[in-house]
Amino acid sequence: MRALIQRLWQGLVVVAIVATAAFVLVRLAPGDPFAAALDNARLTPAMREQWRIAYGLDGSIATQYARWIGALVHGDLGWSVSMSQPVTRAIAQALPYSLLLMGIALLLSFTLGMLLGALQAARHDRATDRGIGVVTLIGGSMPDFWLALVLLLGGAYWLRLFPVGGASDPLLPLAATGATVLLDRLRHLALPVLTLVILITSPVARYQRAALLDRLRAEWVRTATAKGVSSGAVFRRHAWRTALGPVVTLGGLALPALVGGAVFVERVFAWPGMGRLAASAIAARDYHLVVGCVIAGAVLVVIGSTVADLLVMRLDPRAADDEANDRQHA
Amino acid sequence: MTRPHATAGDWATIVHRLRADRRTLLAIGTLLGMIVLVLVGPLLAAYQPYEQLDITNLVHARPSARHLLGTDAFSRDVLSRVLSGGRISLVVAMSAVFLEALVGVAWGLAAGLAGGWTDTVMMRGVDAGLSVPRVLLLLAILAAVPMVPVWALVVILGLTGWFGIARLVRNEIRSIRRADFVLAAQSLGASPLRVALSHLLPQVSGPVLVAATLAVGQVIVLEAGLSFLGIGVQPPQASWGNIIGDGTEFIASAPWVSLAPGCCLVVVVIAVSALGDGLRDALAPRQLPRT
Amino acid sequence: MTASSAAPAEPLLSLRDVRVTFRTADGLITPVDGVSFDIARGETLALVGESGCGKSLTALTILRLIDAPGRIAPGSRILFDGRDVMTLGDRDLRAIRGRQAAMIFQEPMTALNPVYSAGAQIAEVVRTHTGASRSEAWNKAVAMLGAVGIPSPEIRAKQYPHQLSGGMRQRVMIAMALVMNPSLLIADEPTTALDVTIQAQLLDLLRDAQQARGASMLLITHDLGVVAESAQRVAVMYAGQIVEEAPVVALFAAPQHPYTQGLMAAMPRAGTRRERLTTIPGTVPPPGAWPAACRFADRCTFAWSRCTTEAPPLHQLGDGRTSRCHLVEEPARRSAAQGARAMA
Repeated sequence: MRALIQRLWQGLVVVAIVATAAFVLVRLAPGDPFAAALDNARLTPAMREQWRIAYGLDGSIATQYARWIGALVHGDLGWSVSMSQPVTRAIAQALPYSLLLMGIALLLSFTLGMLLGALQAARHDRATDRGIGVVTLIGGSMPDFWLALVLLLGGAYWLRLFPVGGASDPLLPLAATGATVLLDRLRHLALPVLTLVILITSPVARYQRAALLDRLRAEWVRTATAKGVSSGAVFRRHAWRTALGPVVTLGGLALPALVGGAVFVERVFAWPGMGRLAASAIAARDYHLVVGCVIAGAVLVVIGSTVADLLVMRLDPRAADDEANDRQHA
Repeated sequence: MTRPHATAGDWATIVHRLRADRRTLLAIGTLLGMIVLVLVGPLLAAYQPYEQLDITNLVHARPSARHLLGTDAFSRDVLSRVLSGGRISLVVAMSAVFLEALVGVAWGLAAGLAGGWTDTVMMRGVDAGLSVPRVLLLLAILAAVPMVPVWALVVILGLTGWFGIARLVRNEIRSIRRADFVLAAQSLGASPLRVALSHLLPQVSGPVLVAATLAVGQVIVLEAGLSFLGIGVQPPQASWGNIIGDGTEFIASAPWVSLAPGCCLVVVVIAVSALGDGLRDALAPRQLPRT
Repeated sequence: MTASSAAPAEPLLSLRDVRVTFRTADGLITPVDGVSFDIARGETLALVGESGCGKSLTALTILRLIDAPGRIAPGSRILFDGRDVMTLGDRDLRAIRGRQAAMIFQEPMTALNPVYSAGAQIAEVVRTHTGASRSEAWNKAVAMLGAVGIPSPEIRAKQYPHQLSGGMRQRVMIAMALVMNPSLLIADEPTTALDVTIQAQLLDLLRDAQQARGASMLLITHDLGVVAESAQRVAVMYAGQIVEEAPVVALFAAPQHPYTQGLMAAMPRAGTRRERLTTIPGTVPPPGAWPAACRFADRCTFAWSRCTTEAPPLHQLGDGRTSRCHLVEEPARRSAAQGARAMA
């Protein structure tokens, strides 16, 4: 319990740093939503100034920062100029799509990756191991946006099995049955998920293989064999089980990459998630929305890695005690 | 306590191990080949990378003997663009990683040596840097200052990627600070700076080298992605990323424009990953069973 | 204690010409090179030697625990309870491991699985070899922990290895080995990693447990003090071979092989007034670099030309003693050398 609180506190500090950095960065940018967008001779400087005040863009940076922190504490991320709605609402609309995409991709990738890695370790140095190794090497080396393009080309244009983009078919009749809608959604999900799965499964499989091979050399594996335990049970209980911790930790560490990678995939497949939102916010110089997206990304990562850390503490009793030790010696 | 990693005296062993590993040799060969290709290729290419050859007839020409990779939307020879773009992509990636390593080692060394509060504060900063998805951070920065020259892109890439190396270095320093050989040097009167430079640095050089090698693969893909979105390397300068970006619209009608540079990226990343793995294996101390 | 005079019962364990080879980057090495010995029922044999002599590997061969890149050479014969371990199928081998013959390893911190509790790891042995239920096996584990002298065993059983002290971890290992009442215990340097006081306690524990069950024990150690405490017979190993074997009292009273003599002399003894410890000059050669002919020749004070040209066989000396040394055939050289030293 104490560990949880400590983790969350650390996470909060991290998010605070990130938010401040984002704020500073964006404020220092040249350009101004009211210069370009409203380049209309009839708008006097006085009116522009009024707009600025209304959107909280007047005053020194320090004042703006103070005001902004005040709002942030209340959960108010400001107003998005480009989308004409509160930033929180824009993010809230896009977030579920991203979570859906990333959640499914993570689940599938880790399951598949761990299975493949375990298979490789069990058939170490044989054809299966090498074959899978080649596949994961190539799969993990592809640029995310390029793989997305290739799959789009293959799946949507050549095979014509999948739609070209979006999350759902806008032309689907309103009276369509649940099954049709579900199928439509799945078809739209398929290619983006496939892209992410190929990209994530590869490093997971390679890491799982390495962790298992390392554990298989452990002394306690020899002890278990000396006790008469069957090789299958030795593999499961003494190698695989002790390799879980590092793999979960890897998951936690890979979250930022996942969130980032999703940006490109969403762009290519026109998936209406956070990545696409961030990209268009940047193009429109929508400060509040950009900062909001960066903060949301950081929060996601912090939550994810906290969950991963807690999982590791349950999986490896040494980690739980290390926490206590660290606190004692800190 | 013995030294955990290979040191200067063991470099001969490491080189020997690298030479014996066929996969690593293949990786090094591929990378060197690629480097030579992009350095020399543009000089030998039949066409200039920004030369629009025949806007009426040669737009999106299929690959042929005259144009091995076809032409693009502006009737430019894709092969020439890919060669010239490769130069930029590789140079940008390697320079950015060099900067990453420089900053990361310095920060990690300082934090590891300082210890206490300073260390904690410095590492919180690193944690924050590692928590932000690098792509989002880059998007934010490049939105603030769009259309950057290539050198600025290198600096931005480098300054957003040193966190991992910093943490790596700091952890290594923390664990070997108390090692016997360090205490021995200090007891002989070596100043802290000297201890740092001649004893600690060589120890971390191995893991840093592995991390930097793998980072080249990450950065080259990152730059490609940014250029793909239009905020990285700016046209008319070619980079593998923006060539892919140009070809996106026409992916169905002229796939070769986007496929070729992508394949080059994949090859480079595979070679770099294999090289990093090989280095890691060569640096790991070998263990014989207890007799 | 003359083992050879009475008609001997079948030994429980019999190793004949056991060889272990390893494939390394520099070629094939043979860290265990033709080792043979017997262990009778209820007897403790100590296998003594410095690190690198091959004693741990020899112990691992008994239960066929040698993994690639090593292998037990085909000519080796390992007879346990009358059956040749080398020819056993997987199922039969597993039936022996942990049940009829059990191993105790040196480093309990790494030899115990860090993510399972102590009790669970002992219970695993029970459940592997019997049809016991979870709770039955757990109760047995707790009982065993109590039997090896751990206070509050119900609490300790739920703890993880990293929460226990070194001595307690080793008791857990001993409990794991004893729980199925094996007839052979193989202890590989069981107390080397522990304090001297704990060492004594654990050796007593092992000896008592062994005698109570009438079990045999193969005790691997580099510490002659431990040998004196616990063993009935001793075999001394050097560079992959057995160089001397004898009943323990006879060995300490009159060691025959120069290496054994060197080991004895190097032992610090209370009551002597020497100022410097005697050492054996030189170092143990690694498995790839063993000298031809007698492997101890370059460090031996008695060596002469024959020692570097002809490998000495293992001579039988009667009374259960052996020695791998040319001095057996040319004893005159022994006194000559001693005389020369006395005069120097």
